[in-house]
Amino acid sequence: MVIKALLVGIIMFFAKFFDWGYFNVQLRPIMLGPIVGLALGDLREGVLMGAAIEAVFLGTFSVGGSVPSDIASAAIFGTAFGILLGKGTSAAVALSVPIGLLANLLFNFIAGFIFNFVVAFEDRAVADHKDKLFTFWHIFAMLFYPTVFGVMAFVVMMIGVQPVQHFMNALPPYINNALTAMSAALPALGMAILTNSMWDKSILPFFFIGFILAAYLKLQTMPIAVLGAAVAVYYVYNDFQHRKEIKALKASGVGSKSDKGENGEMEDFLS
Amino acid sequence: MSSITAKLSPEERKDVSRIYWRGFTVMNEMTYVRMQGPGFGWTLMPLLRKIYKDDDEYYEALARHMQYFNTNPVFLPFIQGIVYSMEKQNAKKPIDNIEESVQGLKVGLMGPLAGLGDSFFTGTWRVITTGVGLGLASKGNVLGAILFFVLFHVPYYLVRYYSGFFGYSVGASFISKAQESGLLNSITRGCSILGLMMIGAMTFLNVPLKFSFATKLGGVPFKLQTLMDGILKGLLPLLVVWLLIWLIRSKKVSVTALLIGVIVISALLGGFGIIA
Repeated sequence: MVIKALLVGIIMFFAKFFDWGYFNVQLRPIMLGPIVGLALGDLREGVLMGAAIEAVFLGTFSVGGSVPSDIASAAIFGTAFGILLGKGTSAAVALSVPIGLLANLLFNFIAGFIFNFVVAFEDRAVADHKDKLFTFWHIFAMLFYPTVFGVMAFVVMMIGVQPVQHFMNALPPYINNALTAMSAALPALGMAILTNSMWDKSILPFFFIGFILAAYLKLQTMPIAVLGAAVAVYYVYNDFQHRKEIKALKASGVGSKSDKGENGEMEDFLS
Repeated sequence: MSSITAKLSPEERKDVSRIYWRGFTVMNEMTYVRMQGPGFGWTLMPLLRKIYKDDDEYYEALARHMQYFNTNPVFLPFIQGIVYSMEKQNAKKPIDNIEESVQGLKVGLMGPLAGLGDSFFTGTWRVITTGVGLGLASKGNVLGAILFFVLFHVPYYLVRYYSGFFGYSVGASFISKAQESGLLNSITRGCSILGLMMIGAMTFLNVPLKFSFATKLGGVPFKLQTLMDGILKGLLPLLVVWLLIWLIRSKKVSVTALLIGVIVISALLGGFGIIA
């Protein structure tokens, strides 16, 4: 168990390091799942759990620096607990959601509290004309954040697996059904958040085109992506052409008053 | 692409790739107060040292670039490139109010570029590549993860690398032109079309929600899911997703509240054997 906990801690360290410390890699659950699976000796389960957790967290991403949930912790702990407890994909997903929210508290403690002091030290270093000291604090922050999370992961794996196992084993079957339903419903929230983030009334029909292509034509995501890209390129070209024409018209003074006619009412109706 | 780099002298090319490599550390001391600001200052350190021989001028420039800053890292080298070319001019012949003009430029660019980076790379390209990867991964194939890794990151790092040279040589005028002509808007919308199609497909493929409720009606077995499939396959995921969208958009329900709501309601319905 010590070795396994150590491996999970190391994975957490590098997940955080390559995300924020250096390289800014998108280490999503779809990748972390297989890595944890490989470390714990069940690659296939890791792949499946990573994919299931990814579907839940697909809509969760950092916008403007605010991170709603710690995705790396959700993926790593979800997969690790799922494999070690042998409870399958739905348990992995069900555990990953509260873990992600909890781990985010630790993130907020670092970014919202501790690093304020680091930044203050850096300000003073620059004011004192000591750029080497600035570099020192910069590197310190680079290693501090992954280290805290790595140690946290090791500790959680050391002391957490047995209590969670006892807890999961004591659950009656209807709780299992509840967990399965939960892991099936949660990805819907991810899709809703994503749709909201690209909200644009004039192109909403494409959502339903994609849906029908998958549901009735049985297309996989790759052919749908190629088809979508073709439509998008056609659209960008025409839309830009259209904008240029409108601009040219406006420049020549035509139609400046009646611009708000039918289109304006249509917009009001739809909004 | 090589035409962008060809215009620069070997030394300039070295400088710009240096800020590209240092730029990967921009998030290190991220705080909610100054965001990537101090990190941004650190990425420019050796170049500022090079152009400002005078100690006071150098530290003044360094402090100036540690103020609040936040953008999507994919276009960070673009802004670094512009800022470096501006500071270089200032070092040769001081620009009036360099403090305000360089800070104004950074603040002016970080918004639109963060928007473009978020909507294209984080919002669309990540969703598409994840969707493609999930197709394989949800069948237990590890190639799905590798496919996502390669498909997402190769264009990401190419754009990130070349945007620095682009920023250094072409500068701020290009972005303001693209914004004014509407090209930026057209591209953002095109990305959203592709993204929405993928989300629609994934609503069917990756939201495995279905009714498990079954009973007998007058001796005839009745399965609610069979009825739903007769109307439209995947109707339940579709309805749930759009209910959630409606709650987010029209009712302004917070995502955390929705998360708790989805967990509680689905757990209850699952526990009673209505959905699975």
